[in-house]
Amino acid sequence: MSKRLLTSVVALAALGWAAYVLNVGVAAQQRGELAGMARLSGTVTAPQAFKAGQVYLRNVDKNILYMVFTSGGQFRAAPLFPGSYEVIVRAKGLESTAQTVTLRAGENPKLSLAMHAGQGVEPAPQANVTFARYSEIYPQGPGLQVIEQGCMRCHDENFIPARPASEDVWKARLGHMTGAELNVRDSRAYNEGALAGRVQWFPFSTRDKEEFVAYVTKHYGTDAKPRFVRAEQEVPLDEAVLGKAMFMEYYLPIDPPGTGSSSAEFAKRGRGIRWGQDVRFDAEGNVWLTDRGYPHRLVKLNPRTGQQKDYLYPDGAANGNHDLTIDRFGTVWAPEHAGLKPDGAKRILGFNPKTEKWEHQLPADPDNVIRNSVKWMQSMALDSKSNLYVGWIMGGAISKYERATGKVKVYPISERGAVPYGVIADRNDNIWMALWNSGKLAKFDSINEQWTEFAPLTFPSHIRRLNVDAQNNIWAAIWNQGRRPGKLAKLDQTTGRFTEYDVPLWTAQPYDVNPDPEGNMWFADSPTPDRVALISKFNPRTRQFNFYPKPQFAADTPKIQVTREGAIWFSPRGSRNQPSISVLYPDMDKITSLGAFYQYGPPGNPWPSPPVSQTARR
Amino acid sequence: MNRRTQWTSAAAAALVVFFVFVASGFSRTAAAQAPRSIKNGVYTVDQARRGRDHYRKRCVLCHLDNGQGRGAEVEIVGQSLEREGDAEAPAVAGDPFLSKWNGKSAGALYDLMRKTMPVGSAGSLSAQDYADVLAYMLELSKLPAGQQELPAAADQLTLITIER
Repeated sequence: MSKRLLTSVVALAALGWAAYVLNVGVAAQQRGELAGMARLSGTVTAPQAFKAGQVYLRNVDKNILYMVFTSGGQFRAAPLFPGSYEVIVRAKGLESTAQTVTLRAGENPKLSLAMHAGQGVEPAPQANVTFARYSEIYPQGPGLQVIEQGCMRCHDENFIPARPASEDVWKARLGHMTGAELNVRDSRAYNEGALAGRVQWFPFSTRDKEEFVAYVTKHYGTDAKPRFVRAEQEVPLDEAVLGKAMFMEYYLPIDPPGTGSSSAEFAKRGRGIRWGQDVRFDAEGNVWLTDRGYPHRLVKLNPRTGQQKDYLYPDGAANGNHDLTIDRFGTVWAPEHAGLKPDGAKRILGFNPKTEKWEHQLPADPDNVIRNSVKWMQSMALDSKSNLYVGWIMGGAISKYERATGKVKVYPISERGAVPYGVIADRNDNIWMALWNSGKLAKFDSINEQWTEFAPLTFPSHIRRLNVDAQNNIWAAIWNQGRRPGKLAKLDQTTGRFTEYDVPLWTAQPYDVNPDPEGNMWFADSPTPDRVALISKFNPRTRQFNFYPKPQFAADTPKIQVTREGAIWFSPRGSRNQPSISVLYPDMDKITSLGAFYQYGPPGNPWPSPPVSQTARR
Repeated sequence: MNRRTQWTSAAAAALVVFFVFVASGFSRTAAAQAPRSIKNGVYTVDQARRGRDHYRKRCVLCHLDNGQGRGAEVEIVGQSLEREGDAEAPAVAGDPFLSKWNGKSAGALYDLMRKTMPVGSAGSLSAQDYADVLAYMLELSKLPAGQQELPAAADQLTLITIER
């Protein structure tokens, strides 16, 4: 063996040893974090066949819920915090009685659960509402096409038949959508005027209006009862996949009577309960939540302990809240939305977790560029220089908070009447926005300050959120429309070509979409009255979809965030009884930490390195 | 009867008529200014009809056909926030409305309507139109009509109490 070869072998061995030591260290650290945890497994029986039974394990000491699925009648759950548990299993039309069990660190007891006929996973029926087939609720006739090709591009198929009313009301509703009063006053909501004359993309002529009013007055008039469309397709479930998955829900503490959301001041605002919206991770693995209940709060959760802490917004609920984001310096940014003063001057708020103070309250439109008197902000993104971009969902613009100068500048979106919803940054510091009002994607070139708009194949449509994958493709989730399912749309920036993928579920209503480290696209799917809320996965390589029913059947989710280990964090926003901060672990065996960390390191701009050719793009 | 007597009689009759007229007017004013309940027929059928026309054009979008408000609408699972940003629209007729306003004055309600409604166009109706809409809200609440209209003046409406 030559000297050079020997040197190489020694060097390789040293490298290998170093890697081994490093791995052992990491593994030991991870084992340390999860060392004090417990496990639980068991069997479930029932008088009839069932699939993917949902086993709910509630840690009563920490007020945390776990939910796992049965596979072949077996289930397992790990890692679990030690403590006292109530365990119950539910499937369609089946449920068990609750069992209690105490788990200690390192234990793995076995449970036997027997289901009997019962309410099961579905919620109790709503009073005064009946279900019927789509074709019964929507008979053929003039006006149906208008509804399917106009209204249903944004509203789902239950929106109209659930709200029967007189011709006066239907005309007023149509007037609201067409902006009947907007020649004498400013718009008061971002749906008002979405069908206003020549600035909208949906077919809605004078004849369409007449046919619409005649149709809805005939079928959903004063004498009609509220009806929902029955979901005619079962959610496709794969037990083998679901058997590995585990949900966790860290419930938000309920305010004591007379305080917080149940105080005299706020009990009749919103829903009178706490109301989780969006989640984000900080550099320490904590999860932050915007609580849109009244009064508005930021919530910080340490997932490794379950400990939560709340921080009230500076003006209670006067100015509203919605999204949040966290920059590389740790500041939690939260722009103001509608709130109790919808026409107030809105600010970009910045919270310093170290001092626990709102240290930034930046006027968001200092030069009054947005002319509408009612203007609200919503979503945000950070570029590689930590400049902050905030979308004006009421106002059709984006505000840029330039870090170097401390100044805020507003850029109106080129599309008139634009309603920007989700906002994200791509790898080249372009800022992308989903236009809720048309289904376009708008790109803001932050270097040249130019707008470009892109229309997916399904256009016009309804898009709320969008995201970027590792190859810099832009992904968006398209809401369903009448008799077609929801879709995922991908824009390849290198070719400018869109590709769309149908979700193989008729009622799919995809909301946010987010890539995981393996390149899968995860999306939140809003429920229907008789179809469970879902977190869903799409593998672009195999074109395979997987659906994960959420623990709370009826709770929709607007925003998801994915960790470097592929855990999907979200808030069940539509929850009536258990507002929480939640996570789906697709494979519980791969959990090495309960902390939540982004794939490329600290929060802020999501990409690992600065843009490749900023100067070249000038 | 000589001419002088005739003139005296005519003057006396005119005086009586005048006093009766004045007294009657005074009594009407006094009645209008006396504290009353909405149960005492404080609006007219015609006024409520005028109010209904305004209601159908300016109020029905949010408060719905019978004044039941958005809270009465069926909640659609998963879409509880689809109308975020829309104004809250409480009941403006019936038991929930009367319970909320029980013991308060019609003047306070009238003031609130003029200052806040319709959302985005507060004060865009005339004073009389607001009084007419209020009359229609009372009719929707199954309260009896009477012979006098609700006055279009907050100070006079203050004397009218809302009762369940």
